[in-house]
Amino acid sequence: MAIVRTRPHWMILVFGLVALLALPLIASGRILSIMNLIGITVILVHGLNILTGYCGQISIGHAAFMMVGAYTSALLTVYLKFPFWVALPVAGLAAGIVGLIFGAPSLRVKGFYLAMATLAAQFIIPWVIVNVRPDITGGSQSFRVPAPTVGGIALNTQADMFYIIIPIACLMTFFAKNLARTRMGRAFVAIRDNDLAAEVMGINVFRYKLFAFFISAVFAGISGSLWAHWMRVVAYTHFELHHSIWFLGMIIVGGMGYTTGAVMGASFVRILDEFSATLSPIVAEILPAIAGQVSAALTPIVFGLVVLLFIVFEPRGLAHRWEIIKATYRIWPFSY
Amino acid sequence: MVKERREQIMGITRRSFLKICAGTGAAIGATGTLPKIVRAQKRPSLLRIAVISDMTGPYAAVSGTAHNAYVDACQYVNEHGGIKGVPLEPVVFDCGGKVDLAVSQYMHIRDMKPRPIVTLSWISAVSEALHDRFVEDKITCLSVASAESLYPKANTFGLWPIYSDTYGLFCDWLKETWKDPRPPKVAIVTWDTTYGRAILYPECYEYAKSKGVEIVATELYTPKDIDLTVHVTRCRNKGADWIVNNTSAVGPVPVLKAIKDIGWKDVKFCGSGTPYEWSTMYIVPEEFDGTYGVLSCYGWDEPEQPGIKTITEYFKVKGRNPVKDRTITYLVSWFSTVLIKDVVSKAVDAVGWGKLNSLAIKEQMLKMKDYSPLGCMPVNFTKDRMSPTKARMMQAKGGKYLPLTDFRECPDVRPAKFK
Repeated sequence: MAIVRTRPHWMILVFGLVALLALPLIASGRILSIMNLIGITVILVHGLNILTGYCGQISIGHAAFMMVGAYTSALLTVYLKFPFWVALPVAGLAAGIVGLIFGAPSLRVKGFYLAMATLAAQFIIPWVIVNVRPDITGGSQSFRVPAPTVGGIALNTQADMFYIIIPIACLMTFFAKNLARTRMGRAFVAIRDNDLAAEVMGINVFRYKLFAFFISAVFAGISGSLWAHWMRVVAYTHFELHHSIWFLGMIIVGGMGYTTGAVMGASFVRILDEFSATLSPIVAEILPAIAGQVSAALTPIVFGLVVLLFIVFEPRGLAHRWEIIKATYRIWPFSY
Repeated sequence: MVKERREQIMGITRRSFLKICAGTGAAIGATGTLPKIVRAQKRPSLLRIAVISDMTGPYAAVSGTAHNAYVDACQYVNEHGGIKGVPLEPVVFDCGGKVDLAVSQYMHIRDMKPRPIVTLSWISAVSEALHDRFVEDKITCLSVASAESLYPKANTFGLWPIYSDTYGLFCDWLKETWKDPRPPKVAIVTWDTTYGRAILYPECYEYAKSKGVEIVATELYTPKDIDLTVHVTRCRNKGADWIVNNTSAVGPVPVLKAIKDIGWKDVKFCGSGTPYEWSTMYIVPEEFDGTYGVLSCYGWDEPEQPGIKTITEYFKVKGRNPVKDRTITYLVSWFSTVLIKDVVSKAVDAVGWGKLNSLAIKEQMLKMKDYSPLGCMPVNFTKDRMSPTKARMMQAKGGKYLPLTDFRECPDVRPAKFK
């Protein structure tokens, strides 16, 4: 069955894409910056969703895979003068290979133990970047990255980057959505639901688990490359353990196992981040006597509360809620 | 006859026609130019400074007070005539220590109308990420002072000397005051972060060596580590006389506690960067006592200094928290606000309101020689060194943080690639 099936679907898709591409004409730099960040995050969360949502393998090392992509792209463009357009897929590939290495234990362990194994990536990769050749990677110091260029023109504004990041994010979304419908995607789901049953059915569990790790890390690597050229600087502190945990939080909020969930989760959490950061000075102005305390408390409280509410009231995430709304709309005004 | 008829065509002579044309042209020219002249000389109704700080993240203990500090400092400036009569307003953004969030906040700052005259960044990682953007967007920035924030030389100026320079000052002072015939042995115990490692450049080791200071150990820890007894024991085993640390707020606490826990009595501790200050004292008052630090401005415990007296008065009137807000950030926020006021005033004198832009502000900033906002923080920006270069050795005694020396020039210990 086609992804876009009906005429309204096509109309919504075309209208949505046109609106998206026209956004830089009317939106401020800040909005574009947020959109770019969401785009980068969506790509990574798609990858994590393929691994965790579809294949059932937990990773808390995805920020490290992103770091591999970011540093690969940065080093290739700075030292070897690779164009961004070449560095981008190479960064994805490099992260994919590293993902394979850290995914190898998935043959023997799963669940909590696999999470611990992937956690190793979150310690080993930064250590390698900081300590092995600090003269090349910049060690613990920031490493400056050039803006992507087209025909010698640097694409260094948020609008320029928007036209790079968003089409790639759309492409990756399309790929992620299609992957779920392929033989491989169905094998992932079979492994997630019951790996023993999947093996009995003839699915090579180890091979497909490694595929999942590879594809997932490729997504992370591409996301990292875009991050590096968008941020124009990389540092190992940009990819810490809590980032990996937040990426997991995003697929929980968005809905694990849904492609739309990855988009919704990444968007929701990023916008929430902006919202709470914007709100705190306003609250501080309204309550000047406790301004400092309010500012210090608001962001973590909002985050904690949202995660708590989702786990209690909508553990299947925003995408599931969206499915319910769509189903209700289809049969409305009848209840079934 | 024909000529005369031509000249009088439409009932006016040629001469009159030319006069009318010239007059009309002049009038149009004048009306076209006049608004420009008026615009050029017109004062804005408001000037803004933008502040990006970490009020909720890992550095909140030090920089969390930025909001209150800039509000109070701008109130002081406005009560003293603003910037040539124009009020100054702070716009403070909390990025929670997140660089990505700071970038989007910076985009907001860049698009603000009127655009803030100066942006202040209180996080090294943010300043480093925005370094090139400040140049592209023609924005002048005052920043906390990691070398990568300020260099290669661009539009970013330091709020205090860069960390490797204050570390160099410590080496100078140690050599001067060292009485023993053998060289002093120093162990560096610092954060494994960009900030903590700012005293680990090869140039820092070379400088210590050139001063006859022996670095016997380098130990790293993360901001989340709480037990450093193993690290500190290794330093003791290597015979260290001193421990140097480049962290702030909670950063020195595990080191000081480890020194106490292993019962190491004959070691001295120095926080080499300006942010080693009162926020640490509130956490471990007993361990803080007797420790040393480098500070680039007058401090809270020198109330007789007129600038500090003024700040303290405002602090009390505004009911600020005597623990949370009494930090180096609060003081330097004041000094930087007054610095901006003086720089912008001079820039307006030099180029007028119409041509006030980042270039004019940057040029004035570079002319601030032997200047000290409120008489509290020596500033001496040059094209080569874009951060303050003077600091004092301090010591904590009886709950106070007091000067041991006068302000003196910090040696230039920045990495060679930035020279």
